[in-house]
Amino acid sequence: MASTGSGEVAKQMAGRKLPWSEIIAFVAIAGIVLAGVLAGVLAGASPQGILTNVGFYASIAVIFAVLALGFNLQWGYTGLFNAGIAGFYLIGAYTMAIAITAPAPPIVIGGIPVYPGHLGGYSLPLAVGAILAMFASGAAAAIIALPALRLRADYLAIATLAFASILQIFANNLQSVTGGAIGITGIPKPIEFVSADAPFLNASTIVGIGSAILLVLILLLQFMAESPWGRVLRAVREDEEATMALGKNTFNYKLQAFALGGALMGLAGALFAVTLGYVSPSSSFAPTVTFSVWVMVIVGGSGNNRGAIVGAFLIYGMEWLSVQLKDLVPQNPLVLPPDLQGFATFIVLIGVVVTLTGLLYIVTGWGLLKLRMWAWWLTVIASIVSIVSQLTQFVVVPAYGFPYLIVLPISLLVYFRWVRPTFMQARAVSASSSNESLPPGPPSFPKRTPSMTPRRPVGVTVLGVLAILFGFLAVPGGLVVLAAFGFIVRDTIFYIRIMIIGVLLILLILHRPEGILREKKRVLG
Amino acid sequence: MAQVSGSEPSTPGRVWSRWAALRPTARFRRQLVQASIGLVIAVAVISALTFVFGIIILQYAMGGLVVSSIVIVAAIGLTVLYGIRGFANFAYGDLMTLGAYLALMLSLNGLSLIWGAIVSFLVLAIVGILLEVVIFSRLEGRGPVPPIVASVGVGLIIQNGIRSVAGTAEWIYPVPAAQNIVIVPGLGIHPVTGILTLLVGLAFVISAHVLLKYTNLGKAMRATADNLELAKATGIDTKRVTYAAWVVSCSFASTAGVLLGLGTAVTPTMGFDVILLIFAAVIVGGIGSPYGAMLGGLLVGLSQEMSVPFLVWLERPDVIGLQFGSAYKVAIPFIILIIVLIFRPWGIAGRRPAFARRSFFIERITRVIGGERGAIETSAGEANGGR
Repeated sequence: MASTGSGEVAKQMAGRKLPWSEIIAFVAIAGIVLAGVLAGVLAGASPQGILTNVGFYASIAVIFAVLALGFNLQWGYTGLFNAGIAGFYLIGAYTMAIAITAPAPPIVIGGIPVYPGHLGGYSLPLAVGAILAMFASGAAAAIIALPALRLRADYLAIATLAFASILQIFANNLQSVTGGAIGITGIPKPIEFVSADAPFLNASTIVGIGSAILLVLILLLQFMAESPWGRVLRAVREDEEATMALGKNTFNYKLQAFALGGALMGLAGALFAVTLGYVSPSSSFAPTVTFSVWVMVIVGGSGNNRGAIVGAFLIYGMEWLSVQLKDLVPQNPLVLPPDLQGFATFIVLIGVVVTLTGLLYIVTGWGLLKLRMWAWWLTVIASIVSIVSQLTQFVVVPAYGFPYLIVLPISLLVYFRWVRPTFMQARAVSASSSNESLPPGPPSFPKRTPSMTPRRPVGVTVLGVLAILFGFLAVPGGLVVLAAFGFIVRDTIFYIRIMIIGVLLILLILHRPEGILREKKRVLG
Repeated sequence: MAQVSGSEPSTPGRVWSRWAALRPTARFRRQLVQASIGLVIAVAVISALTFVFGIIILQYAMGGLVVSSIVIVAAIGLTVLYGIRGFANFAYGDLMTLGAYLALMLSLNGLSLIWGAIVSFLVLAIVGILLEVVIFSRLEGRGPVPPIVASVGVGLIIQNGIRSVAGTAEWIYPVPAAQNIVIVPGLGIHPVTGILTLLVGLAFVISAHVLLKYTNLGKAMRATADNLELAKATGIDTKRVTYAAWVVSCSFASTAGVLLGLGTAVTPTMGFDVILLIFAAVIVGGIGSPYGAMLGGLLVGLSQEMSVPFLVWLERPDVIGLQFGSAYKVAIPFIILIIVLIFRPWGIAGRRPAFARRSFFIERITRVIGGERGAIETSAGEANGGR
């Protein structure tokens, strides 16, 4: 890859622009964490609790990053589409739980079975459990892929989806192995703390272990991707028949990649079991997990390991933030004057509009230069509406509107610094190009002077990210207001979050299939 | 027609009777024989099962038929779209849920359920066209995976939109209460959830048959599903055919959702929970083949419901003492799906691709045992699956 010698590196870096999209992604992650902390402060949580929460965010995000790396190996590198990520995750978690817990006999109190017990109780060391989990998940992936791998991609997707849902049914009902609906509890932690701040220490231990694993994994995966083996995988993704014609046994390569990806998902499941301390067939293994991981990988750009990790932190951050915001909602609805009710509904609608605009921006990557007139008006309306929504939210509940006071000057700055100049430039370019087409005469090559070449729309990306951030705050914030006054149930916040994941899936696959954090196009060979 | 297919050469001088034109073709006669053999086998299996398990198995078979008729309606819709647009619509279950909720909403607001179902049928048709125009037409020619991702996004939006608007509570359609009609003691059928569902399912099967076989649109749809480029070259307006496929698919989804809601309850995940069953029916029957979907739906629905007595038998402590045996009936379609994927990935009724070998795995295993290596593992026809 990069050749040695600092002069060479400097020469390489000279022509390169700053990786804006990645910088923005990191800023966005920081913003999510800050917003979560703020929500905790507003809800009156103790500093200890807030820190534990942030640690929990980091540890689960690391687990999702491992999942995303596994899926990236399968889909991003080899082009094998896995719709049953949750199933392999479940296998990993249960294998780990069965391997490392102490024996748990069935509990019967007064003739009524309270706990059915579960298989295992082998009390193995954690590392052995993790290796077993990887092995089990990898083997399951290989077996399920065996019949479907030689067929078109959608057969594999259907087979894996079916496999995942069947596994959830088994986890729920096969009580003698999995403990039924209660699941397996009492999974030992890596280090047992006894002090008062044990939750925080536990979370940080997991973050430490997980980050180490993540580091090793990404180095290993990068190495594998650059090796001849990885090159064959990418060749299979690009053109399987050509690879076959070059004498490679593509079936074996695909099987290896799928099984390895499944093993990584099993590792994520093992980490998850240790992090939570129990496993149960709950929503942790629902199909939504699979779809979230898809979004993570697509956001990062399929085939881009770094992007997958950043995507995991971003998308899981959204989920975590929605949980934090839910805690802001008081249990008993407040009483709101009727004329403010419509107001609150209005706020939510505005939040939705702003989010969607932001998504549209960042996902389509439309520079303002490419925008049509209606899109420009949409921008104007969205900007006005966002400012109004911030103000109204501030009026209704000052505490909830507080973040917007910070965001307001930033949005104005963005508008005057980037949006307006870019638009003026666009108008100039379109005016000059229409003039150019007017004069009749012999056809000539269009003259493209440097001033006319479209500027890279960094401002648009910034605007898009900010709009998404507004949206993340405005939608849940508005929902919090609505829920506080008893219009909607608290859980609606979750449903809206999953709907945003759906919108992201559609928009990304339509407009940015290569992801927001784009990798430079690599040449095979 | 008869001249084309008549197996015996027409002797000169012989006068054809006026009914000769109605003589069944050779293909039809073959199919008739196959169908009667299948029927005889099915009757024999069911009577053998009745002998073993008693009259209760007939009750389960009846339940299986009802489930099958729902699955068949859904599977026809899914497979028509799958054949023409070439992607697996993962949002199909959620479209069913949407149809069920639309009918529920209308029937709660004073309309009768039948009118509610009809309105939801029409609304879903429009939803289908909108989906094609807004999302899926832009994903044409990008392989099977991007439309799957987009359809999952659509499904998530529908499901969680329903959750946030209508809540997660279970709803029951307001239908008059009725007693089971007892045929023989121990065997009964419910007039609404049983007979009505069967009749509606039958009506949809017949209308799909008429649409596909006896109309120009149906002919164009079959041609497009068979070979898109060739259909375009022959002057078929494939754009219109695609819209028609979306209309058929989504409106069938609506009716299947209403039937499903009649049988059980209307919940936000009711459609997603049966999507596996419908996919199994579609793949077992052969993707893109509506008649295969009917066969596959029958097979999948019957086997799922009729496996219950066996699973209950497994629950007995002297067998293996399985708990909640009947919960595993959902795994039966999955097993059938895997078996079909291994031995006949183009489906029971689907057409076999040109280069496919009869059973890949058996061949592979014998080759491994025989120690022969290095042969090309997959041929181009197989890499494309059952298409």
